[in-house]
Amino acid sequence: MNSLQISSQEIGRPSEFTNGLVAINRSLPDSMALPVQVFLVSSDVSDKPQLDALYPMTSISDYALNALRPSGLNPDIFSSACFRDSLASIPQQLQLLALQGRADARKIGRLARMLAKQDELFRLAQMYASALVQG
Amino acid sequence: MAQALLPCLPSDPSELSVRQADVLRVIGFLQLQYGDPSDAVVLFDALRALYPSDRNLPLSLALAYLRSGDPLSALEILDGAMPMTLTGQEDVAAPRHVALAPCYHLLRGQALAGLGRMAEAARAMRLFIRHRRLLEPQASI
Repeated sequence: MNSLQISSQEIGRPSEFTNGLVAINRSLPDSMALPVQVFLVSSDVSDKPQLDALYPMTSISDYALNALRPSGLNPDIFSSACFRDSLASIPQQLQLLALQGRADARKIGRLARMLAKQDELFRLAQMYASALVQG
Repeated sequence: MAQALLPCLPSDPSELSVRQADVLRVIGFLQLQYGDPSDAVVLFDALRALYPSDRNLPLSLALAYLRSGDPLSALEILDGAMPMTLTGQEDVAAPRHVALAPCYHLLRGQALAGLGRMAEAARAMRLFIRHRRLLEPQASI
């Protein structure tokens, strides 16, 4: 009998599965080498498949957001004091604008009321501006 | 004297200072990215009323509407507020308009898809790809 052909008697019954594995292991000849582990890569797949192209555009929504990122901002606003002063004065200024009888007064008044309640966002904006200033 | 001490405040009380407007733009962008999109709708709606010639604002407002789950309002803003010449030959000389063209078509495609108008959405997305390739020939799509 070939050494790799193992009789059911050597493997054992299903209830003796562990013993069967031991029997298989012991029956392998010492000269038999195990295959060397290799990574099989198709020849037409490069090391960095298109990743450089994918990273800059993580999603379509990000594209729109990046396109609408505010640009041409006055650099002065990123000084902490100027940003804080501008921020603090905006709700009051908007209220004044809304009281001038403009056609769009309702929209402006709505924004003023919303900003007055958004201390949390103001802090976030302040941190964002500070981070930009610090590079 | 007060103006000298507070240079970031407006000299004319009937309008926002340039800095105040810039701060509002930053806040609007943050709201779109991290905040509540319905708050971004309020902000960009008011900014659009204050600065009707700013072509960035209708697109920001449309994106805010999309993110707050209102594609119909987004489409109305895009179709009503944006001139049809945005992507036409007439505007080739205006770089900012041309730069906004891919974003305009992308947002329009998303709004149409949100309304289930898939054939029109597909057409808008093809225009997005075409205009993006014109601007960025190396772009992946």
